[in-house]
Amino acid sequence: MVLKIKRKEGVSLSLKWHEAYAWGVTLSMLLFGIWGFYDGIEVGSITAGLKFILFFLIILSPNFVILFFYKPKADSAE
Amino acid sequence: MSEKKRKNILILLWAAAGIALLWFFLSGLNIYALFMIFLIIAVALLWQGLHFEITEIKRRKALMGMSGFWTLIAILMFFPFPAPDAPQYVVGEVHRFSEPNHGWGRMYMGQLGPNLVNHGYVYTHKDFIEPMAKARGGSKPSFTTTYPLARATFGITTITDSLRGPNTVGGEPVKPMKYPWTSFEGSHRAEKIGWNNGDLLLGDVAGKVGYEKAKYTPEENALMVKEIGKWLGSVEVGICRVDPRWFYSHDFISKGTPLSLDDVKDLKYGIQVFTDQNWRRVLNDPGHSWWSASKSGAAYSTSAWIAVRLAQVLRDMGYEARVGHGGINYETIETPFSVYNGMGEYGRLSDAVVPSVGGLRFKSATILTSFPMEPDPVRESYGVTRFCEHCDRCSRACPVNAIPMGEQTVENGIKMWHVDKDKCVRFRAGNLNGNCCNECLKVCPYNKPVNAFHQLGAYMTKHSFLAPWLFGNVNGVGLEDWLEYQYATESGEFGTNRPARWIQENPGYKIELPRLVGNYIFTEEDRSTAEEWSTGIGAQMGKVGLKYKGIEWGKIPDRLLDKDGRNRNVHWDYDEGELGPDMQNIGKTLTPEEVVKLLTEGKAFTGGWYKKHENVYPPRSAYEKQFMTYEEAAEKWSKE
Ligand code: SF4
Ligand code: SF4
Repeated sequence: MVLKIKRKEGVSLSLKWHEAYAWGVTLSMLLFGIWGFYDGIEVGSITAGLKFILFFLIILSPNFVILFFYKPKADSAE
Repeated sequence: MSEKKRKNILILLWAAAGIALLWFFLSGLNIYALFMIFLIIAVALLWQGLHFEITEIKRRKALMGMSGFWTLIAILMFFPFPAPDAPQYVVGEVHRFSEPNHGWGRMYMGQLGPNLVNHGYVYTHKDFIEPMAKARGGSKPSFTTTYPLARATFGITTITDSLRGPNTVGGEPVKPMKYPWTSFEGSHRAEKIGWNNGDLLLGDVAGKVGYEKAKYTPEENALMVKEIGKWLGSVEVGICRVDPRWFYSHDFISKGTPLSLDDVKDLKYGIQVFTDQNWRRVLNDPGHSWWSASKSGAAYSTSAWIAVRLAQVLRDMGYEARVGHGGINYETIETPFSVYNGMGEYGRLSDAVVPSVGGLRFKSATILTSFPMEPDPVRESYGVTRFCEHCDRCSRACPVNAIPMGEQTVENGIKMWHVDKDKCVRFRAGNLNGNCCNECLKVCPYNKPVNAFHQLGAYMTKHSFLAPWLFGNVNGVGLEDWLEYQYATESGEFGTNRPARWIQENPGYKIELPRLVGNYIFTEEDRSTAEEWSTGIGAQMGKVGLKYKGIEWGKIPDRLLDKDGRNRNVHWDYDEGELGPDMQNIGKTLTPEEVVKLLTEGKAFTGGWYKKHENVYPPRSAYEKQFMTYEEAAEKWSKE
């Protein structure tokens, strides 16, 4: 199954469903981290905000690695 | 690099991830171990991705594994799992509490020693003491009367005090004042008047009940009271039935007057109003300056003002209504109202944690009334007790070790965490590095702004059994410790309210008992368990030996210790540098014969929940001589 987003002629995004799922999970978590960052700043503690986003960046680090680096080499890709 | 070497490095990385996992569990879920797990896994995956053949299937498995893991965690954190059962606090026979025997009562009545009862002198330039004592009818200065802001905020409660009820009950208010503009003073009138001539309901209430003209059903009455209470300025309004064991057995202000339950039989319902002490203020001043007492006074007097006016509305309509408000103007213990009206739950600090009003940082006032209302729905747990089992920030932060670290204990038939009130009050009244305290309120994870983000956090601690493990920090370093909302504020890092110094009693001091103060007799059973500690023996700050982020709790800098290693009893702004060696206590020592005579003649009284039945004057009520749940006691009381 492939998720296809086609906005207009020439611009399209095509993702296998498990790729879409992984991006969905990662981005939602990142958004949550950004909310925490914003909240930290809003309540007046920039450090708490930065630490909140850092917390999410750390626990998401395996996600980023898999998404960007854990893949078939370009020449061996299907 | 050879294939074998690359493989070995990969094996090493995964082994390191395994060790980090082990560290994570062995350290009691230390957040740094958690970070190590994820970072090492990321490096291992990166190494694998860069140096080994990754097939499409392998990638899919990795993506699915990772996404599946986080989906599972999200379900565990966000799914509305049922909250834990509401804790049952009453586990045995419960006796009414004697107001002179609560922390402040004991301190102001000299039970904690002459130095502490004279604590106000250390906050006041001596030139002010005389005129101030004169202005206050000769009473001693205290930590609430020695700064203009604290005087203004706390002081106004002496005026609202006289408006709490139209007549004196159990000694309070000592001087009732007639409320202006009304001849109706709350004794039951056969003919009740309604909210207004047309008896129209407030718009919001009309919307909720679906009609406009008042029918005076209990449900509608409760909605109206809540609507008006919030409009008058209360953050929340809680309503519950009264358990008569919440009434104090003896009054503090009138120094020992007993309160007969017969005098308050009409008071079946409790309406509690709340004022937030302000998240930033609480965060910024855990007893460093005069802010601490002042904000307490401000929130107390605001709640008092809301409650006094709301109570008068009910009296004017023809019902009984009496107000209990702070500082110290209550006829009942205040905290069970917050628990049994469903707003909160007892935490490690012994106070009710009310998540919708910033946890512990509110000050409430309560109206006791005969106005029939539907109580708030049967309380359910907020998961506070479960959370506190995983958290000990308040207990670690307390400068005088007043908050228990371990399990709940049973006192007076109530199972919960019990704070050592004598230690807490000694620090709050006798804080020589500032004024008052609230370090515990400051560091409690529930002390957050009431916004969507933090309400989501409260939702998670209520529903998710995983959230307390992540947010709590009883064994390792938890998320809350790590995030440190205190950074970048005036309050500094967690634990830097130290070194703390507080007023101690002179070496070897022991109070002479029995002792008469006003009409109240303190006996040997009332001796403070912290009496020796109060002279400096074993009086260490915070959690001795506990280290976290470079702060070692309980290490008192040498400059604050005398040659015997005792935390010095020195004051910072008194000319002589000392409170003086011979501070006078209040009260009079009695012989046992004098005690018996005074008690049996009804000229003095004594109480205390821990005393044997036969040592309590006047005797205990029927409610106190058997095991009764809240529901049973409230039900019985509603029919009296
Ligand atoms: S001394 Fe301070 S930190 Fe300790 S219980 Fe009392 S108010 Fe809380
Ligand atoms: S600081 Fe932690 S243990 Fe203490 S009352 Fe708050 S949540 Fe409970």
